[in-house]
Amino acid sequence: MLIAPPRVPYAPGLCWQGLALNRVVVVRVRQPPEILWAMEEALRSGACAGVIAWSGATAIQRMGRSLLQRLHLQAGKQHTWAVLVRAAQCRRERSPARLRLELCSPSPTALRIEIFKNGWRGAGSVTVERRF
Amino acid sequence: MARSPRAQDRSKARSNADLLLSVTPAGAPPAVHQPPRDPPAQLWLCLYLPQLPLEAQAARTASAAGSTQPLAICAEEGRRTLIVTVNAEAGAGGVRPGMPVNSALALVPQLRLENRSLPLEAAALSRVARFAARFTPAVSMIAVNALVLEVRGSLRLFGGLEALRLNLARGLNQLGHQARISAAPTARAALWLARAGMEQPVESAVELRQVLAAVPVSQLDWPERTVHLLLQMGIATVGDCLRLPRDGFARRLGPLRLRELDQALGQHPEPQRPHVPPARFSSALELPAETIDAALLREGFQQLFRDLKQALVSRQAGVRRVWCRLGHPDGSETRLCLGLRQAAGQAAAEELLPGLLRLRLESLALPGRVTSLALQADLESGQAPAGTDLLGQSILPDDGLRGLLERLRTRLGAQAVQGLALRAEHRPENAWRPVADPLAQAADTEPLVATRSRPVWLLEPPEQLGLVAGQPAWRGALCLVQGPERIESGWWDGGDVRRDYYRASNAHGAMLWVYQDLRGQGWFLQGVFG
Repeated sequence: MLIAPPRVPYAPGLCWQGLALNRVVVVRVRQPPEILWAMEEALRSGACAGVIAWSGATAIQRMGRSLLQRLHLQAGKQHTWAVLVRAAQCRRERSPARLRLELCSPSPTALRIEIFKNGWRGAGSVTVERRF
Repeated sequence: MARSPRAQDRSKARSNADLLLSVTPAGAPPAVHQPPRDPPAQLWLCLYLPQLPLEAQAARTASAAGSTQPLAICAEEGRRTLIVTVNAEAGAGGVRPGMPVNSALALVPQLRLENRSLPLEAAALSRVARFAARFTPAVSMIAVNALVLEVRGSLRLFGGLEALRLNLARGLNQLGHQARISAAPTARAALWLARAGMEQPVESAVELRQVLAAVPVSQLDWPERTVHLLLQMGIATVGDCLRLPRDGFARRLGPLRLRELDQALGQHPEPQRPHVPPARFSSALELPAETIDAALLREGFQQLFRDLKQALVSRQAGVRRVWCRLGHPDGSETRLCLGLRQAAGQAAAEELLPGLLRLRLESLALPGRVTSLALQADLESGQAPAGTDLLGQSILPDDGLRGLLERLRTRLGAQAVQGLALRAEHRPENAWRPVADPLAQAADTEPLVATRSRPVWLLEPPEQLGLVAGQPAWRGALCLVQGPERIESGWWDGGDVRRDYYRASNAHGAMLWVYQDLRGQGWFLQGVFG
């Protein structure tokens, strides 16, 4: 389930990536708080294999730690993985998420994945080269 | 039963049937070796509702039932308006079905006339079918005012045919219908017997032939012209029809009639399509008078909740949310939505939802008088507990997803939730389509698969790119890394395109899908790879 994607998810592209299109649900919201609401509903129901939500920059201020804690608990209960994509500024905030990553690309062909929280284990970073 | 000990010894070595013989109690008739029996024949009950047009109107207005005013339902037939059904008071005055309205009014001047409403009748019949579904899963609508039920498998549970018929008759009475109930080994025969008013149950095929022979042709559901023709030929009963040569009968009256005769006698199969109650429950009630009194409204809703309960019982379904609508005289509506945290079955309709409704009605300021009530509910088959697989992980039924989508739609609007599907189309912006119900397409296999690399995100509409030193740029100069892929299509519908597509990347590592319009020479950004 894709909640509030920033652009139009392009069906042929998703299909090319190997997603079964009939299992993809796109949810659009009108206000930022609805993103978290929809995410919580999706996690609570346990009906989705995975949930990805994009919270735009506007939601950052309102997103308290307790809200994230709630999402975290729901996801743990139902064995659903959930990804919340946030703006890069949010890195400084604390979060109950098990795994926190930051993606950036230092050069045109590389993608650096920095793992700055991974449970109790240490942090680290991986750089991936793109190939075509 | 007197057997020598030796004979008993020997019988032990014999088949099971013999052993059974030797333990038959003395009082019971000795069992005889029977030839292998056919599987038990079907037994069809027919519920024929001759007064359905009247009863459907009565259920709508909720007032005509108690009145003793002569009432008739009329319908236009060609250029005349004929009486279809009359109530007992009108019948006592001499009004008969089939009479022109003017003659009826001449006989009974104070006669109230109502127009026949077929949708109302269909709704009433499906209400009866819902009720009948608690006795057997095989309920079919065989005519506009008759249902047939296959009850062979239900006889034991409900204590025999007679008890079942009594049960049905009582239930129908409560629903406000009077019905003729007949039983026969075939559905069509049951219908004909019920129409003819022969309510004595017929169970064997031999008996059926005799009983059917006495049914007058005028009582069959055959068109008037056919009946007229038969009567002119001096053929008054089904028995007379059966004595006629088959090919001549088919030639004169049509092969359909002959097949119906065969079907009635069980010589030709007549599969019935079982009535499937809608997954969405919906019921409405017109109030006898405009009111704003909460007690009256509650009482009206009580009736609707009784219907809901029946639907839940017959489908073994649960309900999570109901919509109550109160109609005002000016056509506007007040809507209430009652929801439960978890789907509940019968108890929901009996206690939970009426309780919730009472609370809401008390706190609600109605904008005006109320003339009609309606209740809608989505039935969920979620009453069976979710199972677990062998590793103890819960199996996630699609129902959960359906419920989730329903909740999301309720809160965010119907357009907010979409699925995606491919379309066989070369132009990238047309190669996909949103799907309103993501679950609906799960059933049909997806014949289309993407055959070329495509971006995950689409820009709608494409963004025009600026040029830096003759090269397209987007947050920095773009470097074309793959391409071109020529797409030229759509000349037939005015959306003609001629483009060269490239994969491009900029200094920030963004991987883009850009194209050069070969007619305008402009560069556009249409997609972003992940």
